Amino acid sequence: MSSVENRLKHLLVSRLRVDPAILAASDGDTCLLGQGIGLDSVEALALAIAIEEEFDIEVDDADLTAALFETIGSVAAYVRRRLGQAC
Amino acid sequence: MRLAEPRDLYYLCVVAVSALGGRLPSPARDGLGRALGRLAYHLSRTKRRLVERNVATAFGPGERVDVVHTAFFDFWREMISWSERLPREGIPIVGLEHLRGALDAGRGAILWESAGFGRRLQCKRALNAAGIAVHQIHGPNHLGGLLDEDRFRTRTRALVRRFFDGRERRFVADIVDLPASDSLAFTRDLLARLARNAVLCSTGDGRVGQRLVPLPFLGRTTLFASGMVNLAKLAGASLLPVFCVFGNDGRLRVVVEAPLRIDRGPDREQELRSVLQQYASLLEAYIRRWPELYRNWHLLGEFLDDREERAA
Repeated sequence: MSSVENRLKHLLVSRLRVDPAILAASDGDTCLLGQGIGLDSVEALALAIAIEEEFDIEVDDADLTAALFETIGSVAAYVRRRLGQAC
Repeated sequence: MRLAEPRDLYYLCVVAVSALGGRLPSPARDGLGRALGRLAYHLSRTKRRLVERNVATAFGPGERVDVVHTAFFDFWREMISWSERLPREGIPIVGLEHLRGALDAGRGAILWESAGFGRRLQCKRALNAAGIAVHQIHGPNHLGGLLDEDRFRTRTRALVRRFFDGRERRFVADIVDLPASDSLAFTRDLLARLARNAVLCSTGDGRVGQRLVPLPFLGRTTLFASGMVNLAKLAGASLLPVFCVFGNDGRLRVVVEAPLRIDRGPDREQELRSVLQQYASLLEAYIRRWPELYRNWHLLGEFLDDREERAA
């Protein structure tokens, strides 16, 4: 698992207080919204705000979609893409 | 976009009844509501059976069978109320201090109303008269007091929605429509409104959301959306249940309940369920006190099959 995914998992535990036991059993394909981790739309926003602070990137409103927050892997790919653009 | 679907004819009839019924004097409005309720009771067999079953589950077999009739009547009476004037003497608000106290904290407030209980528009009228500017949130399938059950997008349905929105807009600061797309950007907008100390109003028992939590409710299991609880937590806003019911004198009154307790504990799931359960229990208590004002008896347990309901 990449360092971005590990940092995302850390944010989920520290900022959104997701049960570490659930995350321990998760991988990049684990669903974030609804079933799986069980985030709702507002928690997705909270995660987006945490990502902005952690990675010093901006999550545009246009990117703030259920598709982006579908899995840990999809969020990690987005963060990597934005970090790549920022370099 | 198509012009209409067969069900749109029913929606147009409701709009016509609302627009015309609201102009009638009070006894005639009640009479019209009663006549249409009786007609619907006899025509809507499936709905009637569901209401009978769920009322019997909530109150016990053979108990409160009167509610089956009055629930039909109240639906039409609620529809007519969208077009009637505010009573000359106004609608008193009990517990307004709870809302004022929440606003004094400066982090906004979320009023939680029921999608199918009490008089929703009259509630906004009363709050507006008290100087409270409400930002009303509606789901993508909102059609005023109606439920857009098959979610077709037609021009007729847009017209029906405009009718109800037009009536509501007179008493609210803004209407926030949740998108039909998968965009979550609206959450940032809601958060920004709360940061400006706005009063949001949303349904506590609505079924629009990325996450729905099954909870025991009126003897069945019903889904409650988690979004507003987490929005209140994120913004530091207060979450206040609000109801518009009839007092002992037969007059409408708005009740703003004390803010729901959001205990920050180590268990996020338990915390969420605790807040939702507080609301579900409070709404259930109101419905048990005024069962005739609940219009969604037929929807209890919907979206869950028997096995899911037992597991919940």
